[in-house]
Amino acid sequence: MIGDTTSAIGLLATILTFSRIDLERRMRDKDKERIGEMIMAKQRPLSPHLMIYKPQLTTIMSIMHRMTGGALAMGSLLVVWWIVALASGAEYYAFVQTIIGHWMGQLVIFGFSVAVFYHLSNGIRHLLWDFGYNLSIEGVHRSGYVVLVMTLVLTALTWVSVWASVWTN
Amino acid sequence: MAEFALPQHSKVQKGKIHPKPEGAMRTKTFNIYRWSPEDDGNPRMDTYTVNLDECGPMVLDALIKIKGETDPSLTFRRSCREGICGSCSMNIDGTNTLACLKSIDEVDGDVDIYPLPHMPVIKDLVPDLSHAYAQLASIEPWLKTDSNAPEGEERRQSVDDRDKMDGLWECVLCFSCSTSCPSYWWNGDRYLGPAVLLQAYRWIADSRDEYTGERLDALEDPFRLYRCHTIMNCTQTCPKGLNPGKAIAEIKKLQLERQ
Amino acid sequence: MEKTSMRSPLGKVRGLGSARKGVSHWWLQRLTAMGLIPLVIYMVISLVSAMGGDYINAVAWLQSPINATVMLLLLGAGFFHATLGAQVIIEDYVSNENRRLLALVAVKLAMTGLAALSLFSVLSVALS
Repeated sequence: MIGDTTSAIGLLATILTFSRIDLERRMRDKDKERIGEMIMAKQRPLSPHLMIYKPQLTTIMSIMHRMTGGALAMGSLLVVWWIVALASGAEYYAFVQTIIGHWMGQLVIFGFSVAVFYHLSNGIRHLLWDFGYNLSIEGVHRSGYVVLVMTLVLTALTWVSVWASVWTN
Repeated sequence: MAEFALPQHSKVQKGKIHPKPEGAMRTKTFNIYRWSPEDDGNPRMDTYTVNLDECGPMVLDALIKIKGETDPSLTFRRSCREGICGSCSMNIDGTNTLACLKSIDEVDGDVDIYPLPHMPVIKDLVPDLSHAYAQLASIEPWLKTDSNAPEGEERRQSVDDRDKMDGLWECVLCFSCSTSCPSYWWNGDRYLGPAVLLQAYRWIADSRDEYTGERLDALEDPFRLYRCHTIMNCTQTCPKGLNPGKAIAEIKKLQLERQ
Repeated sequence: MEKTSMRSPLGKVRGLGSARKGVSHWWLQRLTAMGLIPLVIYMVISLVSAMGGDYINAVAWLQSPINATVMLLLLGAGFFHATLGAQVIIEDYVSNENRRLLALVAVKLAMTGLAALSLFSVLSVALS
């Protein structure tokens, strides 16, 4: 009986001690948080970057390479769709062809072709860099303009040929 | 997501416009980024107009004139004023350069001056470079050897091998290139950036160094090295005319060569 | 925003150390790129000259052994190249580790599925 009481008191004392420790720990955490907030309040600002940096050929052509790459990955869905249609039979293929034939479909394909030729030309420019060529700033600029012209020429050539081809076939 | 916009407390606000100097014939207006831990609130752009007839030709001359005559609280790093110490790197007219090498006449219209981009600001045009310096220390920029140097002599290097150091040793560590690189903006915590990678290549290319393989090991990492996407802003902006982009390409070629 | 840390800048930079990988990803991206150059050029020319036909013409076009082979290689290399590229973009812009992993898994699975679907469809047309 006495032993039980002692152990009960002991248990109670233990609980009280631990909850006290716990309380102290929680108060310390609270303090830490408050100090943290004070530091945050006086936090150093981040200097402006993208919004103030001068747009230039290097940056623009690089982000365009990435965007055309993304567009081609998205556009691959259309290519897959067209191939699946071809495998699905004449009826479904005809349905897909009418959508492709619509001016909106044609516009998407035109955009896709521009992305193909830009990514192709600029990809070759990147490969040359990777092999160590053309890395002077003059080389970077010169090849940049070549890529832009190539994109225009290849796109124009392709669509003229498409027009001629549709007319003869 | 990478943060493309500035956090709330970093957004730049309109600041003070200091009066134009009286009777000046030729003037230039400077819009300068200001922030001090002592004042509450966000960074701001203060406007100063400088009489060019009483000012040296470089942007640094104008900054020193403004600090000396108009606003002593304006804070920036500078030392040699001849492009050899690398202290006065900052963003002038939209690109990073050394204020002492940038002529005022080169800038059409107002001269906008910001600290190096995407860096924590200590005060005004002074960014905190601790992280960038730690990145430099991490590539161990010193000669590492196991064999002893010849008795009473220096370690020898052929003329051809010495030529390979040209375009590398001249770097003054101003970090203009690293802070011009979008990849360094978004992932600078792990990407070493062009300045540090050029230094890394300087030791890889040094014929006297005996730790080339270990150096390449330490760099072969999707973030440390391969965040470089050959954007080439680094080479475009280097105030010393060096080519960090090419140095990084050489490191990538060596990584491939030893596969 | 990262909590204030007492770790030294050098400690932070060294972090978990070098991953000791990256070359193979970089090289495979270039290798597929080099392969894609002739494949894309051939495909554009072949497609353009076949333009304007009906279903029978299209099936016949894809049944030609060269066209079918180029199409298979193009799709294989193309989806591989796209997956590697998408991985770089995700690593660049998605900084949260969990979300990054989720996005990488999703993209890789989707690309593999699309590649399988398109390769099977080409084969089924070509071999029919």
